Amino acid sequence: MQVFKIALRLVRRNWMLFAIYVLALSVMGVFMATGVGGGLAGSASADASYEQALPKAAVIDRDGSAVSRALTEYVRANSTFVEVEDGTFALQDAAARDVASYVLVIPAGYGQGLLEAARSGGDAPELECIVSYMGASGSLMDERVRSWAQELYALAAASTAPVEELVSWVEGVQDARVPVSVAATEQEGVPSAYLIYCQFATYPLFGGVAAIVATGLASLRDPDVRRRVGASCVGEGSFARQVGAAIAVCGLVVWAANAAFGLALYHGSLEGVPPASVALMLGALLALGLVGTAFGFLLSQLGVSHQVAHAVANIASMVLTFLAGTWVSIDQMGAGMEALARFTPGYWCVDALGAVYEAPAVTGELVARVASDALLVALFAAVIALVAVVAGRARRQRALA
Amino acid sequence: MTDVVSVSNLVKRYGDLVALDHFSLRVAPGEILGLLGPNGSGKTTAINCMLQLLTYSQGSIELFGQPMTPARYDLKRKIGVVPQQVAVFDELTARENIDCFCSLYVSDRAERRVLVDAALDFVGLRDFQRFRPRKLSGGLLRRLNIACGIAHRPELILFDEPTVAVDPQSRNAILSGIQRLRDEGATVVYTSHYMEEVEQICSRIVIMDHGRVLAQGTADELKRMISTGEKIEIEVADLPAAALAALRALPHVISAVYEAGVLRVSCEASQRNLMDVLDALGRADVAVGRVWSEPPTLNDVFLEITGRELRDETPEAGR
Repeated sequence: MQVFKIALRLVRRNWMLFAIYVLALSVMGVFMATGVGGGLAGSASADASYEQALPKAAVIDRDGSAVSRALTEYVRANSTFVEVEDGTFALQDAAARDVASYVLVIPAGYGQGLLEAARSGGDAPELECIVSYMGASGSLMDERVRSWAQELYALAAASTAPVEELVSWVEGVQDARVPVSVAATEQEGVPSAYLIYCQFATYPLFGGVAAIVATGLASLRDPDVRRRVGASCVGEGSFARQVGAAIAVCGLVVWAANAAFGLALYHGSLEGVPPASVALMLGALLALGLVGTAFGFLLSQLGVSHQVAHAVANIASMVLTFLAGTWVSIDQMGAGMEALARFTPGYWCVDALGAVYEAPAVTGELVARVASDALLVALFAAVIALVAVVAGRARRQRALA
Repeated sequence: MTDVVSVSNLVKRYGDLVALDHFSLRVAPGEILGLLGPNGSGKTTAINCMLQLLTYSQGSIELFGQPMTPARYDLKRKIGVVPQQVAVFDELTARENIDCFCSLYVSDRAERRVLVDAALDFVGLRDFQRFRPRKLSGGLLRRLNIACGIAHRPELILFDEPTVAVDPQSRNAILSGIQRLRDEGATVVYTSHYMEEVEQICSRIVIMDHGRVLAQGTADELKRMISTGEKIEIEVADLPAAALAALRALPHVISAVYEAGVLRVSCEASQRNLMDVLDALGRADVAVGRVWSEPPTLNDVFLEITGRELRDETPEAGR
């Protein structure tokens, strides 16, 4: 067991690799999950209150009438009001730099023109506006302003009441809004944030483990060290078995660390989730961890340098997680890409995770599906490990000859 | 008494290249055997074959009177190896490195602690035991390399050019350490292409080239094998051709060359070489400056056997 202990000691000394590939990448998974799937607490306990987003708006009132003042007040009340200079360049610049998402220009004579048009059945005068291209809030504000003007036009057409009264009617109509609130739903099954965290765990579990194994144990591959070990009482077979065991422990540690990190962060939102569901997801991830371990073993057996090991592990992880649908849903990639993805272990791992997420309860059918997916992933690991063993043996034979 | 190492007719080929050509070697218990030869002469290959790190196509190897095979861990337990290149773990401290390599032979931790302490003291690394290899100088690194190979108290130690690129102070420490190991009962095989080192510490020397043993014996025995017995150098301002011819005609003179004010005379072994040469110069009225006389070196032995210098292929500054 001495080589095993030495190997673990060497990996322990490369703790920076763990910090980068396990902790940092797990944290990245949390960020992704938070951005896409909601907060750490999950949607079940999310705040049900609703707050309307307000656009940044400005008004250039060149009319100064009661109508224009009322319209300006309306915009002020329904936006984050900003002051903008009245000039062609200043107006365009305000929209271009998103100082204001919406700039309304009320031309001179607009109020009088609107009332006269309404009462004579003519066309209402045009309102000028500049809308920022950086979002839709300016356009939505414009819709509301035009709605306000149309309301005033309709009331003026139907009534001869003074303008102040017409304006107050419009304000009354505009204030009558549909109440909006967020309805909390009963949480069932795995929260989406945890699913996304698990999907992103495929990166540290594949590339992280591979890089840690390939570079952390590089010293054991040094030809002079191997020669020294080869001259000792440790046989070639025993050496390979002990290093293999150490590599397996590395994979398990990374998996356990990633799983523990996720459970610690999401334990709140996982309270109502059957432990069996979580166990199934972790089982699928463990299978992928085996693939990462085998891949690291392969890199190690090929004797690649530190730099190459890091590069290959990361590039392979990118490809694997992409084809697994971690970054972009596999449904959006087309049939060809999905067919290709089926030849990668990440696809089957994420498939198992998705199956647990979508299942309303843990059933025998679900367990069978996850188990078959995990088995398929483990097969990838077995094949890669076999290739690694053959490659390593070939290298040793060459060295002996 | 059974030889510690007995190698017979070993043949090792790398494709068309014959690295060991019917190489034979015997090492008696308690001796320091020097394996002397230029780079590429087959010294390291011979050691690797003894350790079963390389396969060979012909010949036999016995260690401690037992046939050596890759699975003879009982024999490997008695062997220590100090490879040519420093073979340590960069991630571990000096002490941890020694402990790791010692653990390949000794599993008991308490016993190992004592052995590691002894190894640290032996190579003088006690003050540097917590240093990682990259913090150690070249000489200290070599000492660590040695400590890793001897910590388990092997009976046979194979040193493969342990002083390459080492400063003189560390080299002396290494050489005296090897003699101490011998004094403590170890048998040592020491490969080198530095004849001075081999001559200094080895009780017996095997000169090899192109995978073959060219000559073996003690340093004196080897020197007696060749015709050169003495080399004389004399500073001479001017040497007439007649005087040079007279020198060459002397009975024990093998060659006489005059170059850049220095007369170099090679003589056979004789008691009167220097007196004869100086007499001849006196008769020719040649004014003589400084005079050097030295016995033959192992390099002369190698030169006479192979026709080339031992260091032809090993130009190293500062040695």
